[in-house]
Amino acid sequence: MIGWDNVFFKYLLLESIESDEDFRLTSTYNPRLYSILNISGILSPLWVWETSSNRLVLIDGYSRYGWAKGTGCYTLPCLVFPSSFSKEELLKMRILTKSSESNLSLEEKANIVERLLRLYSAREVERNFLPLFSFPSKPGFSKVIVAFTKTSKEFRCAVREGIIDERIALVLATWDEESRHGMLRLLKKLRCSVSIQREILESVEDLGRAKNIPYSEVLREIEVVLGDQNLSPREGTERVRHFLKALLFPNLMARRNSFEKTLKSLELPYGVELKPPDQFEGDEWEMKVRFSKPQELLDKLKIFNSKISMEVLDKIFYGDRHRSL
Amino acid sequence: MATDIDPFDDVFVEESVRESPIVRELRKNLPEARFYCLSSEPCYRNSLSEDFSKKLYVIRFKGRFLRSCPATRFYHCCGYTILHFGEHCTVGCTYCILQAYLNQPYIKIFGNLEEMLSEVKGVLLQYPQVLFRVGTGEFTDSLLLDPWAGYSSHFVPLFATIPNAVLELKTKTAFVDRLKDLPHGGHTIVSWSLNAPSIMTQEEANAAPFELRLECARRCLEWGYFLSFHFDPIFFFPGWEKEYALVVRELFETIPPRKIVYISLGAFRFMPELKGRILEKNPTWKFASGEFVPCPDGKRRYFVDIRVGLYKFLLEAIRSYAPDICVYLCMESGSVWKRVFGYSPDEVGGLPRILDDAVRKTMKVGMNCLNSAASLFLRKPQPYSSI
Repeated sequence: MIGWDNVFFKYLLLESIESDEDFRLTSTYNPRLYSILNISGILSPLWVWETSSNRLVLIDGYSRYGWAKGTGCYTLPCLVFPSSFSKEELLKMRILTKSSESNLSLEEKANIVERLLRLYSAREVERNFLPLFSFPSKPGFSKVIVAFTKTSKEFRCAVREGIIDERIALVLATWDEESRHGMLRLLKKLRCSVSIQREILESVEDLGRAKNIPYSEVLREIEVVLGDQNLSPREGTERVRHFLKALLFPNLMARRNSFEKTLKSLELPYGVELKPPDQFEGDEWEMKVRFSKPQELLDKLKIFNSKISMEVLDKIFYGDRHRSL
Repeated sequence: MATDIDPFDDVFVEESVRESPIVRELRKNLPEARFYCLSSEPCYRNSLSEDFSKKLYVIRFKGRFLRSCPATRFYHCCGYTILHFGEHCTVGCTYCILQAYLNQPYIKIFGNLEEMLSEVKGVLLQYPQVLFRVGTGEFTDSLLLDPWAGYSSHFVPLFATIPNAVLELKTKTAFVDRLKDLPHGGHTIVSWSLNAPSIMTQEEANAAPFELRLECARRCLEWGYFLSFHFDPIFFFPGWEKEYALVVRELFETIPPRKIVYISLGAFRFMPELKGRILEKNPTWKFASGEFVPCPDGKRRYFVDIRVGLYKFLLEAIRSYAPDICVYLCMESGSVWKRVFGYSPDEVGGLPRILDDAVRKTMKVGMNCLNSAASLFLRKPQPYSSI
């Protein structure tokens, strides 16, 4: 049981209160909270721990504390926890209270998990706490989350600003610093959707694994492709995707090019299309003919027939048989 | 040595099968193991980090033991009938599809042997005009537990008495000793998965080395068994031609083609979730990072031109030693068949028919059978060639 009977309310001098990084779970500027504070001032007391050496350590209320400092307040309403409380006990209270808040950012969740690991075993945290934050309760996943707390301020800021998706950020947290920074630079430039971020991430990882090179090397190649040209984010994104596809799928791209070239050389009538199965996989091809009159259909089919032979179809269906892998 | 797959420390036996001949055999062959009695099968999930590698579960299986291969309508299926006697495997292949397919982390076998044998006999004899190719290697390795559980001592003699069926035991192990004196009557095929030497060494942790697999195949041949080989999954990597050619050469230098019923070829393919599972264990694993494309059955396969290149090369290598041997593709489209063989299975009566004919020709079994078991069990329609 928490010894609430010993907790008391008091106005404390702002300058007498110290911050402590162990208790600080958020470094996010919360504009909504600041607006409310501007309107009504501090509505709920801050939590402060009076240690055995008479220091006053801030447990909860870092944003309010920051606001007060900026507005020149001298005293703050505080709930004071006496030295009979241990730091561990207060840390646990702080973390569990914070955990119950909705809309926690990835950074806040990661900070909470990192502190929880000081109080509970990794297995307990993974089993009991990760699902509360919508993280998978997989063995070892807490390490990934902790890795995120160790990333650079710039990287975490990009996640906060939505430049990097939170799930992507957790994958990147496991990368080496140089590669992560390379991806950060790229995603800042491209400002692309989550699904494209994922596609680029997976392509870079696949290329790195397949060629046995660090991801940073793949990213350097991408930077060269992007060059210094003034491309819009959309143009840049398309160029990067095309470049990665060409590297990852050289045979598919060659086949696609050969298919398009053959088709173009046939000069099929306008409105007649031949469509291969997706990625040329499977047996279902499609032929589409657009027409507005019966005679037009007959004419188009006649022209189509005159241009198509088994040899041509063979090339369309199977590409260049003699091309080596 | 890689073939020393350790026996189990703990065997959990469901109460209702404690008197099973399988359990008796396990008690005899695992004298050091601790045996526990369970009222029912426990429910563990793959997400738990507990190590189950030395635990064996013997349970009562309540479903049907005979079932069809899980085919899809987009690719040609061999029409093999599965005899489901257990699940999971400890051979430890990095690429194993069971990692994504099964949600229990331990190996389990079915102890209600009498029900299993009675169902097999009942179904197979009920359709004397149907030729059954039955295999036990779909959800586990057929011989992985044989030294301890001895299923082959029950299966092989049973199939010897069924005129319209053959049994295929698929393995990567060297556990063939039990087969030596069994009355197989020419109705059992022992088969091995083969791969490029670097794959067999690096990616199949507890499997028998290639030379030992061939040595075991040679011994089975001496004991009168028929053989088959499966190049599945085939990988595309720098130097693949040289490595696979070497395996084909050594295979035919050791085994005469006339006793090989068929050889299958299947390029590496995987459900997307398998890649994640493998990378969790080995983040630098490169074999799922090639030119893989999404396919209509939800799996990822090498881009079709790569597969065709792999198959044509292996087919040519095999045919250079054994021009008449039956070679088939596992789960491939009609157009891939057409490019590799010049015909699609549906043009010659379907893939099950091709394999039934191979059984008839090589093993002389099912000579009077008119239908394939696929007509009974294979519920999904098979694809047609696009041309």
